[in-house]
Amino acid sequence: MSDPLLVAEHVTKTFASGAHTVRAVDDVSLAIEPGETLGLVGETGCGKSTLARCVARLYPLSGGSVQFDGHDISSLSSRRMRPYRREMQVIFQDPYGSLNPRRRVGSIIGDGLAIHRVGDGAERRKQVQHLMEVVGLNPEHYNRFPADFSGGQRQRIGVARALALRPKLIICDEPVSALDVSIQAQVINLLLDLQSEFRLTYLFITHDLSIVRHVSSRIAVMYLGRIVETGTVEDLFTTSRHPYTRALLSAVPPADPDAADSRQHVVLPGDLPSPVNPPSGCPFHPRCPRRQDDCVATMPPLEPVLDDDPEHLTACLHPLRTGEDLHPSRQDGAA
Amino acid sequence: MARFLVVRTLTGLFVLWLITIAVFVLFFVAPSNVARTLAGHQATPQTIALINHRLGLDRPLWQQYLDFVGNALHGNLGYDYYHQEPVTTIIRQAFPITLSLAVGAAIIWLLLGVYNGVVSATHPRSVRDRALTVTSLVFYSMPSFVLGLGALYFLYYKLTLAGYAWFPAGGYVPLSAGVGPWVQHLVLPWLTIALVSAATYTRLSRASMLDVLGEDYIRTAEAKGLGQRRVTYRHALRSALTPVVTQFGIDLGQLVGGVVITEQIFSLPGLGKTAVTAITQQDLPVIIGIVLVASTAVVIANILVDLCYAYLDPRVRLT
Amino acid sequence: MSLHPVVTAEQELEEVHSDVVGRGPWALAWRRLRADRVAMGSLAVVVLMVLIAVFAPVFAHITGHPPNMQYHQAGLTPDGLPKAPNSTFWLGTDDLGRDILVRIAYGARISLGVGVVATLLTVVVGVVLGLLAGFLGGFVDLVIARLVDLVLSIPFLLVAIALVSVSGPSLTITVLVISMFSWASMARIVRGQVLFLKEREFVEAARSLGASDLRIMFVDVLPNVLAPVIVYTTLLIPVVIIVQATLSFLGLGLPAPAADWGGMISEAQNYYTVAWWFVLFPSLALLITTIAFNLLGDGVRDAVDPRIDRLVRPR
Repeated sequence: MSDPLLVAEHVTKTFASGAHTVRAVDDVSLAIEPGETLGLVGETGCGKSTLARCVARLYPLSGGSVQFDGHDISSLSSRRMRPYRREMQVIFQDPYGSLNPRRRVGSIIGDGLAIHRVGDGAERRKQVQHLMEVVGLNPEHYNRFPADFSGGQRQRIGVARALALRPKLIICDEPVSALDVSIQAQVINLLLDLQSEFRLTYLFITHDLSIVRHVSSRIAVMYLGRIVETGTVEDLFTTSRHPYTRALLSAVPPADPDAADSRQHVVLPGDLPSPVNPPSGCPFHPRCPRRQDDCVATMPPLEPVLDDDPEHLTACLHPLRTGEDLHPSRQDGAA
Repeated sequence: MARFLVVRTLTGLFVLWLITIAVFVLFFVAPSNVARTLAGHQATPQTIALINHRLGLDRPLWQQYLDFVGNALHGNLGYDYYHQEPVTTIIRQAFPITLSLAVGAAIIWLLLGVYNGVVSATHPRSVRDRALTVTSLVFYSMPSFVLGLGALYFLYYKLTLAGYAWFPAGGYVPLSAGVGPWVQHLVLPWLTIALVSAATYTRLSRASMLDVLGEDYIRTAEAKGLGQRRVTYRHALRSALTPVVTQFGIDLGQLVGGVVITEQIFSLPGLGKTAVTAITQQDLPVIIGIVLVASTAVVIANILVDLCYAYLDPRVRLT
Repeated sequence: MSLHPVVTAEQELEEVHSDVVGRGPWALAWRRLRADRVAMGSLAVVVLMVLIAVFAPVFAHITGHPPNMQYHQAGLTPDGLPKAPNSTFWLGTDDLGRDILVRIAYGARISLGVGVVATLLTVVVGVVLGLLAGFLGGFVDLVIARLVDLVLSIPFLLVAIALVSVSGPSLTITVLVISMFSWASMARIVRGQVLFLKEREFVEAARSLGASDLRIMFVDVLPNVLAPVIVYTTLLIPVVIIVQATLSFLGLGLPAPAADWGGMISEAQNYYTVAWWFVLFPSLALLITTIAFNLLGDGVRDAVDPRIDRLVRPR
């Protein structure tokens, strides 16, 4: 196995606002292999977007390190970061906010080329038009403004922009969350096509579990700034160990409607606690139906549990055994 | 709130200090003819140098500055060589005139401007609104000296010729001599300053009010069944006033300008006219004294305005 | 999963209507402005004033009266007072027997010249400093913001008068003095806008591409700031014109015998009872110019930033 493309070790990000400090990302470690898609899921507010920006060095890190392609980029100045930016791109969530309304689309897509002085004006224009074709846009619309395009098309523009510098890694921060469901599939398929054609590695962030299942090879689940479980899609969807993962994944509508009855629908009590005042010990314990005394006191380490293979890591002191059900307040009446 | 006040006061003092330095440095770039004028045309360079020395004008700049600041803090703003009077006296005589003029005009323009603006906004596109919009445009575009001369011509000259000597051509009557005469002499100057600014405030409050009236929370209030008048004056006005207050803070500095012109035209011996005369005479102590007093007044007024702003918009208090 | 671009339903629609030309925000604004008759009218007046200024010598040529030539015989009454408008002097004469019409034309040069140059200077300084302060934040912002506060709290006219009188009146000084005080409001507006724009995702996107701060400021942020800047600029010109006229009214404009609207009105002060034309015509010239610029500014603002709630609200 080759070296991982991206390694995050004990990454922490705190924000201070007035008297409060928020630990948006708390001691997160993960690794992404070249060519794979790591899906990062969690509720809104769990810190996944913040983690993405830390990894992309759009925020400075409060703690920990990030290594890209073997190089430590944790605390590089913006000038030293520039060459790495070519290899690592971001696709943003908001199709309306992520494109400058006063710039023409061709200029937006070719921005990276211009910044890194790739080719001259004519070559760049050709490149941009080629990219537009690749993502499914009409290259003749080179001179139009973002306002002339629909949401789905704007996301395609964002994809083209990210692709322009032929990066190795693309961080997709909820790329389809703002789109109509009917358009989502098209953009997802585009991303998958591009991955095989351009040999891309994706960090795919989303709160939509059905998408993450379709897109990822591995999944990491975040809760309140921490990773609670990570493993292959298989592992997590068949043998999830962490109660939160189990609850989360139980909400995904299965592909087979007939299987719905046998599915256990878990409803978790309470809400996501405020990251300003996180619970002690395991962050999930206030809502966990399996909580024990040691959960309140000790922070569970992220490591293989029970008889899992070394790729499947869980942060739980009392993980679910294979075949074991989660027993919370049951919503459906089925036995 | 107290913290806000303290911070603002300190900032104000700092600004004031910078102004004194700026003015002081500025004026010492210019040749000062004080000694020469006192000595008379026939004086020899030696005599002038002697007078310079006696007056302390040949000492190093920074020493003069420190002395000046020290004196100022004791209420002594120096001595006016041209008129043989302490600067403080000159200022003390001129100050009430300018104050009457400025405060009166400010009150008139605020009330007039905001009232008209609100009326305009609550009856958009009506005849009243259109008439107000056009008149404000005309007054807003007019320099105050044009308005002043116009007022003199029509309200003094023509009116007096026609037999109605309501307004004098100028001059000041102190309040102690009676409210009637005091007002009578101030009406035209007040109007000269106020009408131009009122127009600005009419436009501003109209736009601001229209913005606020279009907001959803106003529609909610209306939907709740509150009468239109209550909606307007309670809910909308408070938010609409914020930009007006901000503008007022900025305009305080400009008020000084309007005062200067008006005092010139109507021969009111206030700070403005005194300052202009002093400048043409290169009378340094008076100039510095007046600029200092005017700046202090502006800084204080700004602090008061900020207080109002904080009252209207609670978010400001937290910063 | 094909590698060929997927033709979506939206795209099919696109192809059919591809002759619908996409119009950028500026083109749209221009179209709105063109449709605004009041704004176009005031633009015409402004252009007229500019032409008058440019072709001032033509006025002198046609009437045969140079602007500074004093006609003591033909231009003054036997008592030595100005003459009313007549066939020789179309707008009358001033206290020294000079042709008011010609002097107004030459005065336009000064008012418009100072108006435009001072405004341009103000805009450049204000926008750059506002950009830097808003975008870079930190120490730069602190210094610039404090400077702005300071400049805004100084009583402008007094200090301006002082400065001009100390250095001697000249066009350059007037322009510099006016700009020195006006840049602050512009900077404040720009800074506010930039602070808001800084948080937008397209700025983050530019950063993620590796753009430098400088590039982001001028390529990404500036075009979005231009709209309020343009509006404010158009509305600033009449203010500058008035300020310049005020300064010359107080005797601090160009030295006599220069023809300048403010100065003319100042000279006319003592004659307003006997020579109304002496006060009226320069004042009218001033008023017409400023009203035109103000109306134009309003039109520009409506064109660049149309708001739905400026339309009729049913009551």
